[in-house]
Amino acid sequence: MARRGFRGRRPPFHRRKVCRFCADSSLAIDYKDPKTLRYFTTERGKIIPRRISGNCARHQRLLTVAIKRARSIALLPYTTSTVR
Amino acid sequence: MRHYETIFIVDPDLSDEDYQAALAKSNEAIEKQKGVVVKVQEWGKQRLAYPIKRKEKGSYVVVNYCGDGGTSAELERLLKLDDRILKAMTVKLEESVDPEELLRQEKEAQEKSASPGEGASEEGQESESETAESTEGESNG
Repeated sequence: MARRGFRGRRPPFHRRKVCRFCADSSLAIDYKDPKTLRYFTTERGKIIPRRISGNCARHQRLLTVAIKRARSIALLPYTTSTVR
Repeated sequence: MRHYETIFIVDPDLSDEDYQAALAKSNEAIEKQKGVVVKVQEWGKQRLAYPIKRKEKGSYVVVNYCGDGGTSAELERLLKLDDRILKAMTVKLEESVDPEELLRQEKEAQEKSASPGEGASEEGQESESETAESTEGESNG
């Protein structure tokens, strides 16, 4: 029944996404660790949405706060369009 | 007592003496306000993600301390006034902690630091209990 909406077309490709922080408990969310945080931002510095990254709600929430903190203390860029 | 963490960026063009003086000043301020400094980490000169006060680099310092609201408020005030500090941010890690307990843990961690992977598990706990109280100190527009 799930197919009915996609008459003729292929149903959208789905891959089971798992929250990386749930899967690996040693991976901590910390605003002082820009390397990990950078993985969850685009090249332009935007935060990657949960539907793309596959994070669970809780960790996405913690991550957002961490990224914003890192931005405020110049560990992560707000945007890359300035200078450079 | 509350557990705070203040991270600030010192002007990278300072002489070593001036840099140390800036550090000493912050530690002094905490102790004057009856706070307890748990840990001071110096990250050294790092590239900033965006220029602050026309500086592309900055020396990061992370101060981990205990105190009450007055301690962090006073430290922030001083950091804001100080020209040598490019930017500062304070984060509350925990609402009520025993400073002596933290100092003891810190000592143990240091003894263990001969073996790698010292602060990892400890920091995980901290971020769990982090409350969203972050204040952003913008020293200049």
